[in-house]
Amino acid sequence: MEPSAPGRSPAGKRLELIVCDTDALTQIFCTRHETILKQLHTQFGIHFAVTEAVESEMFRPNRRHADCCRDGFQKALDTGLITILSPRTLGQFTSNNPFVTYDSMELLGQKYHSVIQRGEAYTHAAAHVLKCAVLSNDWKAIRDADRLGLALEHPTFRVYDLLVFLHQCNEFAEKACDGFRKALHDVGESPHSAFANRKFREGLPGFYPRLVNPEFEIVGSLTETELGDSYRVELTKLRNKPAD
Amino acid sequence: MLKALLDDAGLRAEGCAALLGIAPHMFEQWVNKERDLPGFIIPELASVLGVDAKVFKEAKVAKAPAIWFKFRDSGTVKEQDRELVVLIRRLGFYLKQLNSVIGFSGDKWQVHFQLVSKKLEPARHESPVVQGEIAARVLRENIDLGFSHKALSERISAPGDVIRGILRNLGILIIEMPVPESSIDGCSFYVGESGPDQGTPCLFINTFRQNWFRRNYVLAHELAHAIFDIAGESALVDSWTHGNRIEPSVMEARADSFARNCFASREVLRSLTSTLGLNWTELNAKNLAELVAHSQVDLRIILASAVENNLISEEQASQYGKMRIIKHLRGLTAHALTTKEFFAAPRDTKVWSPKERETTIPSRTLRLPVPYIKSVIDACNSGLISEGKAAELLMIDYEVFMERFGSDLVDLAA
Repeated sequence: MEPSAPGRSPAGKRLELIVCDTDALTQIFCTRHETILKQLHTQFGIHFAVTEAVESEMFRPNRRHADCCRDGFQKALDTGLITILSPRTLGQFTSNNPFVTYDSMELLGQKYHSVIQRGEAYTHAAAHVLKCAVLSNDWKAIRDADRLGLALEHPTFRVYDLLVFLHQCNEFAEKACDGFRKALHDVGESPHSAFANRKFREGLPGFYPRLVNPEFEIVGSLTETELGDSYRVELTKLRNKPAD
Repeated sequence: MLKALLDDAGLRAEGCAALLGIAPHMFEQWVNKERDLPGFIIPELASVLGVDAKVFKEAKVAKAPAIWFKFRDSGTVKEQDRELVVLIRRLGFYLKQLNSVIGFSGDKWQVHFQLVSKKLEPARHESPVVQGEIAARVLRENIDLGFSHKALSERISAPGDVIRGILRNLGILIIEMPVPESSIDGCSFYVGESGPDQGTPCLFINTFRQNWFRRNYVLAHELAHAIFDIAGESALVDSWTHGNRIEPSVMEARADSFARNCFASREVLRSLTSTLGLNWTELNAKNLAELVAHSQVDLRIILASAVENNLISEEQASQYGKMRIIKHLRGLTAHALTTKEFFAAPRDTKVWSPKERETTIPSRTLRLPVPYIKSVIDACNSGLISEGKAAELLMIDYEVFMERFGSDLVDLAA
């Protein structure tokens, strides 16, 4: 995998869109930490989106944590914090014909879906076509996709990348980060392995953040620790707040 | 369009959504045209309903394929049966995906089906019983169904032991599971998008109240339908144990004869007579148990074949049919054990319990074939698919997948 230019998304433009996968959203909504997404949107102008495949997974009854995620996720859709990628909405994120873009996403998603799970497949396909980033905790999917020769040439953030980034920008205090780990533990979810059974402060040196703000002192590990770390994106605060 | 298709097929939107793992309100929106059908679901939905994906992409008006008319409400078929067909067809979609990833063509059955049909062509004027007999002989000779001269003389195997593996290697999907609430004993139909060219034959056997020996017969019977009938009829549904059997049609008589001759043909009975040293006029319960154990088919089928081949009279068949052979049979073959006894027996290799083979779709369960599960695990261990994909192919949640099969996985990173 070729790393992107520092401070830029692979397309060479400011990072504006993150396509989210089910597992990462589940961690955010079942711990009621939507504020992570809100902060990134209001302070840094990040738009969050999901594919219809992920929307379907988020609402699927009997899925693990389905009940505790449903309301929060629905609210995020209703308020526009998260957008569902469809031909009607794609115009916000691409200057190309949205129908052609949608078809490209679907076609690539189908190809990925033969070897990786549906939600992940369509999420990575959308990010590839839209040249944006993915939010997914599933490092196994990245590893498998890499081994299977799927060209995932886009940054993939874990929920902890967002958390550490907000902490680096002084938007999230250490105590709040520890609170997130506790909330994950309470619902039976695991934090990133660097923070397993450790306080945030103790785990941070073992975590290589993929999203950093060059205007603040870099935190975390200085060396890459896992597959996907080669895509480090720099992001700075918006000068003007985005219009919703 | 989706609504019309579902109505035509006799499927409820809510039930369909649950079986496909889609949130009911989203499926409802697609059905009511409040939202466009998303691209991600089109391939699967087209495969499950048996229509061309273009129907959805181009929003064409389409009628449900004939298969759904065969599964409309009747004395035999109920809503639960249609739901089971939906699940099996969903498995068919995943099977095609898996085959494509592991590089298994899955269409060898076509060669054998065509061969049987070709060999049978000169005998088209014969009775269905003779047609079934010829077809069984041709198939046995070509796929080495276990009753070849070599197999018989060396006692290598019998059809019941090998038939499932052989048919699966040809690409045929076999589902055997108990469905107590269903009146269907067995049925055969294609799974896949549409038509025999794209589809895969599927043989379903309801194992409820049917022992392994009886199931072998039902399997061969459904195979006959798959060879001869489903290309034209879309699906054949059989129900014997619930008294729904009517006077056999040509199709049924041919399938009966085919199944009988797969396991208890004249040659097989002759060979067993000499191998076991039988005197057909004075058979006892032990002799009958030996016949069942070696031919691997229900006693009634053996007796019917023996009558047909003038080895015994109708009266003798009736008399032998009343003998209790189970005690002897259990001493001769593990196939006569109950499920509980089978799983309690010590063995070297790991065997997945029926529960471990079940999908976790809440509204209806499908018991997956062992070789399918094995293929999925092997594909995962070979690095051809991700663990998440493996769970999806098995129609179970990821957490359940790791719980059930985690110990079967190898750490590829290591």
